Amino acid sequence: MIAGLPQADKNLFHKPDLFTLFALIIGYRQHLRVVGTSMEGTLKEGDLITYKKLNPENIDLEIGDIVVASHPKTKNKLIIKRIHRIYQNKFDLRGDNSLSSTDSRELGLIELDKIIGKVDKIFSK
Amino acid sequence: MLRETLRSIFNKLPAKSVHAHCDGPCGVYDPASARVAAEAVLSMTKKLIALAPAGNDQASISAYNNTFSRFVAIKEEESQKTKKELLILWTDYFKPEHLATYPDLHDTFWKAAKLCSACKVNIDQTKAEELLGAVQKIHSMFWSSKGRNDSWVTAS
Repeated sequence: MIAGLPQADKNLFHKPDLFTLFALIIGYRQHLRVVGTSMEGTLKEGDLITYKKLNPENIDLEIGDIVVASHPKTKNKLIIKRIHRIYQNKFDLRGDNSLSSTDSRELGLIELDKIIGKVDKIFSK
Repeated sequence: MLRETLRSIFNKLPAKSVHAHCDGPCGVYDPASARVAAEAVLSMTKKLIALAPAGNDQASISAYNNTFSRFVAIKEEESQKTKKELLILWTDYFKPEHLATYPDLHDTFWKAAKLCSACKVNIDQTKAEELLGAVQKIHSMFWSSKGRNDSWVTAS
């Protein structure tokens, strides 16, 4: 159990296992490495995450989900933030470490088409 | 053993980066740039107050006018630079959450920015000293917000 985290987050943390490793190697699962400290409290620099790509037929995003999104102003840059609020398919994304995060407070609401996927597993470094 | 090996593989697994940080030069903020500019404003103000023509002849008056103009131009430029550096800290570094710790944050920055304007408009040593004092207060807020206690050191 990880103290201080929302209930939903606890289920995201996994220990490395052979099945996931195989899934990553064959490309069945997408994975990314965390850079920066804006999600500290949940994600640390160097943590590995996997995410489920968003299914346009069935958008299942909720407040509290950690998502991977395209940076709205910088091409080819991915950001990882938590959904703070949802306003008609526009997302207020925030970093858990609010004192050190560039997020919707400066970037504005993020359009749905910028959201790439939802984090489903976190492997702490 | 297997778990440790897997952990090691996961830690070394090539992966694209996903950014959980600030934009641009992340976290590279420092009130030192504002301090240097504010010090220059005070220095130029003092020099302007002390400046006098060497004589009443045309050459002395011309030299005086030339130096006076240069000093005023530098004072204007450095005041504007101080304001710019302060606005970057105010709008980019400080976040709404800092207001809980520093309830006078907005007032401090607003007054400091006003002092920059006052230093441009006037040759006023008191205002220039007040500006440096305001920058010192912002220096303390900034470093304490980072959990540090960096001492205030001036160049002059």
